[in-house]
Amino acid sequence: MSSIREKGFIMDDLRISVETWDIKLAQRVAREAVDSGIPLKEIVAEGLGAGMARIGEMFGEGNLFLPQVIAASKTMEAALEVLRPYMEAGCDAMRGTVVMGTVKGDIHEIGKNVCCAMLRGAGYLVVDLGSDTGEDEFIDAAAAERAQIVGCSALMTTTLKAQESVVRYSDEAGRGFLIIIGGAPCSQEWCDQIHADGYSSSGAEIVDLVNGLMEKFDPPGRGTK
Amino acid sequence: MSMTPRERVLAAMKQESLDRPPVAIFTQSATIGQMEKVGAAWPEAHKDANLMAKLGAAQADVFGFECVRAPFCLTAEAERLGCTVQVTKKDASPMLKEHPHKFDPMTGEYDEPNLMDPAEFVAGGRPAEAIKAMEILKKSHGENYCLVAGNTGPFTLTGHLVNTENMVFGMMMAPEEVSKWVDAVSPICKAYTQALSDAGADVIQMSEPSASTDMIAPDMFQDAAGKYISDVLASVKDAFSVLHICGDTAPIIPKMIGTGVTGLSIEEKVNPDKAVDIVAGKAVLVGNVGSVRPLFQGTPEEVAAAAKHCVEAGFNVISSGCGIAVSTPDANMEALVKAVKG
Repeated sequence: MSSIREKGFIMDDLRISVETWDIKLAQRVAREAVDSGIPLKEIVAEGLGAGMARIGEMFGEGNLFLPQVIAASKTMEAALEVLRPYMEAGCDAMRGTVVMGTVKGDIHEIGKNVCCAMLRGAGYLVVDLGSDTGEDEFIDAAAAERAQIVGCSALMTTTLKAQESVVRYSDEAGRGFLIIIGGAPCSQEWCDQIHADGYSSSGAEIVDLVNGLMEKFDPPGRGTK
Repeated sequence: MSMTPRERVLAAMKQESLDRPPVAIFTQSATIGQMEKVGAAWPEAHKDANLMAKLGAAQADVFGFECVRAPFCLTAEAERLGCTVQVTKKDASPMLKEHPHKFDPMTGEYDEPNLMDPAEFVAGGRPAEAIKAMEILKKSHGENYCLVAGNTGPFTLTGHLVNTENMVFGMMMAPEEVSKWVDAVSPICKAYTQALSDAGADVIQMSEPSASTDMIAPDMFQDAAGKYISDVLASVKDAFSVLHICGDTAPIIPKMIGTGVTGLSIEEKVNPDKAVDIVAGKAVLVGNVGSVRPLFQGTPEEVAAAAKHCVEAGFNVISSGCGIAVSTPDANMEALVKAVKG
């Protein structure tokens, strides 16, 4: 490398790469950031995450729409992929663990994927179980990953009930995590009715919801490490 | 002499003056209650024209709604074009399991859209059963009821074939590749729309959920979906055209009207009064009693209140705002009919 850039420029480029969905820039600067010895936590939270937070803000305000959010998410994911080998050795960069999935019988993933990206940008370790996820898969993954939060997405009226099943099965298993729900047919009323712990109406809200739940995280039944 | 349901729906589609609007589910209408009462159920009714027709007529035969409607999902076209679809449940809609084509804006790899000839498309698979179901319904119910046929819009169908998330991502990274695909899918949608009309459908309700503001920016609507809707739906011969889009459609209602369709079917995320204000008589309005709340999860009283709100606001056809949830209680379906018909 011919010269080492100032940290401020690197952090700005990380943020800008996400805000402008410049995938190549994101990958290149993520590598540069690691080489410069910037702590992973800062690269994620104050660089890439700051860009994702701005995208989330503009999405929440109605100034950006899903295509831009997906493009920004994919950009951040590409940069995180560059960071991944270093992360495994330093998971303390993460603020907590969230297991995410679309419930059984439902293959709609876009909203859930956006939420995963928002949470990763906010510094959470996200374990994405994909779509058509059974109750047991959520519960087993939460236990294996010692997740604090499980997020269940449902995009069809017919699969809302599966969110209720995840809550019920988890309660029966003596769950040690909180459950949040989301998806077009969901509502706060539905969340209250099935005794889930939180509802996010869009990808723009999920980080605040999870941050809030993490602050008061104390589910009954959670063992100690 | 009182009007038949058919006359009432036709009058509503022409925006003629009526003592009350018709109450008719233009979106997916089947429920478990209807399946049990008429002896035609999912999954078989998705695949067999006779059962499809029987269940499609059930909203009228069982509850007294004022149209008949088939089919019941947005996967028939995708399946015909090679998607793997799971059609196995009585209490859940068919589910797309696999997208057959590569479309990856991250790597820049895109399959060429070499699709089936439109004439071949309408001659087989579940689309052919839906066409046949229209012929059966025309004979059994056509005298007294309008036939509503539902199908899938070209932008949404393209998403089914190539993966919707990748398609939406492609709107940012490679819009010309998205256009190439929607260009190729459109003649198929057009042929299917006309075939449903030719088989007896009075109304074609095309669902284009991927063009919702939840999926693309309002300023992308015209290029992604609007111009195709004009060509494949609004131009249909011998049937009325209705465009259904979910979510908060307020920002795109003028563009939806601009496609030239007869009517718009929209969700309750647009308040009924606001919808009528925006549309201002430039299109027939169909909807918009909430499918989830109140129809699926609410009480009959809440259903009646929402239905009356739509009537008072000036909707031309009172329907659910989106597809009926299959487990919607009979009492709520009955309450919707009673609230409008008295």
